[in-house]
Amino acid sequence: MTNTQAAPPPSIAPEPGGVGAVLTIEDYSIDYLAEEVVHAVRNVSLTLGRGEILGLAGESGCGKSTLAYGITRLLKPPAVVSSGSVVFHSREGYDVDLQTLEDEDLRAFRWDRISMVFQGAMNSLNPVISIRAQLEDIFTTHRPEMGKEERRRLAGDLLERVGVDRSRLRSYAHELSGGMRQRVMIAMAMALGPQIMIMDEPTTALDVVVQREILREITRLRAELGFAVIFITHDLPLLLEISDRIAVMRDGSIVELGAAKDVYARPQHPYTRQLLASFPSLTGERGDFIRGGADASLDELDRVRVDAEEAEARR
Amino acid sequence: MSTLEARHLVKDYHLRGGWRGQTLRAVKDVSFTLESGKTVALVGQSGSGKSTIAKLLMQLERPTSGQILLDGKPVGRRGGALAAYRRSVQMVFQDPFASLNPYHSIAHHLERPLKLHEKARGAQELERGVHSLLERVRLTPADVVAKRRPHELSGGQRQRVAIARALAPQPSFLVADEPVSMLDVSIRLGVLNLLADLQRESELGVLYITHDLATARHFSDEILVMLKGEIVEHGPSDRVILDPQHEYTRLLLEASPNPEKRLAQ
Repeated sequence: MTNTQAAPPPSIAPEPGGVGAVLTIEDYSIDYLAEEVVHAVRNVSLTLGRGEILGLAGESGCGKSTLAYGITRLLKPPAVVSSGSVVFHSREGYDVDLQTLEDEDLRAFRWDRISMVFQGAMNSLNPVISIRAQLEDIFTTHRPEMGKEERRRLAGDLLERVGVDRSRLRSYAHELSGGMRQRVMIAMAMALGPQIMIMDEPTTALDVVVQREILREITRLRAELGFAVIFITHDLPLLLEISDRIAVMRDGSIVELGAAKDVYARPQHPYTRQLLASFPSLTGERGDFIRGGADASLDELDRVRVDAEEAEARR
Repeated sequence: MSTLEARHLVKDYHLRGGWRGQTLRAVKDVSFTLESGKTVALVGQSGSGKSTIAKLLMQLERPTSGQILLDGKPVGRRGGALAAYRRSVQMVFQDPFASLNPYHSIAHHLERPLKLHEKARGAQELERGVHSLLERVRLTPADVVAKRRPHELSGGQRQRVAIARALAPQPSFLVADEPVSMLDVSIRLGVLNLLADLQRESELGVLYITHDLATARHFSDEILVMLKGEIVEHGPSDRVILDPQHEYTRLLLEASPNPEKRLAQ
């Protein structure tokens, strides 16, 4: 592990009662060096509080997954970090600049300190080896000194912690329901007791009932184990329920950041208001924006853009 | 006024495996009626049989028992009778990325149903038909959109092409299976509002299949709640959502994200 610079002063104070920051992102930008350079993440500054659930909201293409991949150092060319830094503040009191970690240090760091539940996690399990083998693999890699007995026991404990019976250790991915597979993925992400878990659309493919169970599980485990979560989704109502703070992202920039309740009650940015208005209230008044007049919103938000060539052809 | 009635529909699927195989009853004795000018929402978890109902209504699957009646008469299953049925009942699929053919222009997608259902003849009439369909779903300028291929449109625009295609035969009924779940959130309401407008303009009867209770409430007159192949609750939308009777409806409501609950705390 490399010890680098001291923690810069957090730009925005994390909410849960001054317990300090676990991650500081400063002026962070990521570009895709395609034929035309795409600025996927633009000058993002964020502080993640220890044990905080931070919701990252945005629509497809806004850069939220790219940001997550940047933090976990999973970016592949043509993506490059073009500015800024991501610093991890360990519970043990040292700081790590994630951009400078290389090779063995990076391998040891990842999953141990920051783990990730991927989008489409339901399909991320290996179909040809058992759940036990996949869970134990984490320990053989990261805790080579651990004995076989203990590995077995821990693998079973992990499953039980996410509400799956340990008899399922013998199962293969296809023998589990979608919800169970997702729980196994969360168990894997928790295996080494990370201080940060990044969850990229972890419940999008699931039913509301299963989604609710998993959200309860995440909130409970967070309280029990004290990890911080960056929860990425386009589902703003869901974030409003589970997050401490919410960051709204658009075109690579964070356009609004605030406590969940404030974002809901007093959204500042027009885009946040637009996103909020996209979800009709379940139990509130039947708004007249619905089944109302013809839709100007479609013309505004999803207009057909005519390019020069097409305009020429029409003449 | 037109009606489309499902009467005691049952659908069994045979699963392979074991010596004899097994039977899965996907739909168990389901009855309901669609009327022109009204929207009925069908809600439930995945695997509850919602899409099987859609397939049965579209005659893409044959019911194990039970009947489908259009205006009180049992529907024809082949030949001219089936074609006539298809003219009356059309479908919008969930995934606009899969339901349009990437090789063909948007014009082609709309010309085919116009020709097949004899709604337009000759190049000029066809072109006019295509343009008027595109204008109905607000894809303008229509002449530009008609020349494009699916990949040159956004997801929401593609779904609007799929809606225009379903409208081409001038149906009385529309089955929309999760029509906005694949679209970006900010345009979902726009597409649903468009569907609601079209429904009013043409007095369409719509079956709106979804797992989203909030839009089911706001966009439909009635809600059917499905659980394991059965309809466990059926009633006016506001009543089902605000005063649910069945335990399962309550569970679904309890599980749906509802920020107002937290803010009230």
